[in-house]
Amino acid sequence: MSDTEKPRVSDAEMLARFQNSKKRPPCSDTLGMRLVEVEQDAQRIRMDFDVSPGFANPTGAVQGGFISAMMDEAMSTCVIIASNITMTAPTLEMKTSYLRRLMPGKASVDARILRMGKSAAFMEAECFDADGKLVAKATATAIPMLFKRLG
Amino acid sequence: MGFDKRAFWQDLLTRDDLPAAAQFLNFQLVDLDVKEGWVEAAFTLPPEAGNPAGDGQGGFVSAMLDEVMSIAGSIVQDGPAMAPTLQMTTSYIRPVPVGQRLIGRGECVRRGRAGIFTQGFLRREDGALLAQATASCIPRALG
Repeated sequence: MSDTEKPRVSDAEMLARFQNSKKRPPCSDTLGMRLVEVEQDAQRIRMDFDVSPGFANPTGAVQGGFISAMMDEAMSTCVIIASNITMTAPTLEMKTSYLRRLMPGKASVDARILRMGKSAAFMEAECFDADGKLVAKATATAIPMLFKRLG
Repeated sequence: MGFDKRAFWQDLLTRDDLPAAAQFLNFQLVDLDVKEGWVEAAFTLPPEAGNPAGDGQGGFVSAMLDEVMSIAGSIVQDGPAMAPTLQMTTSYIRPVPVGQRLIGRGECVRRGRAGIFTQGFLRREDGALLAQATASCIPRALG
């Protein structure tokens, strides 16, 4: 993390900053997202989701793209936090493996940075169902870009 | 055998009670070819899919592509069927607007006995490519 000119805050403070943010993007509310863990040293976060039955496919399970949406949300937020809220990171490419079906309701995602470079960021994420079973795994690349303002 | 595959899918994909995920994405069938294994559909992302920049969040973009690719993987099978996605890779080529009509195209690349390979393209109405994806899925007969 070379671009952290701002003083770092504690994990608890960073978590509170996101939980109390009034500028949540619409997609966060749509997915019922709540950031629940931040570990800045390990460059990882955990998010809880409440997945709407409105994202079901014909079998009643959550359509794969919406599982990707949860993981994209977590991986993108991971970059923002790893950069100490100086960078955002539009996703270039994302690959998701769907291991099990996920029913609407509670889910959580663990996301971490694999490498945060100047011109590229590499992330990975795992999505778990309410019983803690791994339902999907994703990797993604993104381009870190300076945030205009936030936080 | 009286099974009219084209009529079956045409009817299923234009019903009022489309699956919830398809309704969220404002899925609307444009055309499909069950022999060549492709489908085109219009989508409009609702504002609820917006990211901090006001564009469609990547996962919702993947969701649109997953819809048309899963249909492509389903219609190439013999009878009523679905094609659960095993793995999917999406490239986000340009920002995807919300509230704007987009065109998604899903194609079957290869229909194997145990595995089906698909690809998908999402374009603006002026033809600009916004995102593309490849996926592998498994054939599953229904009923």
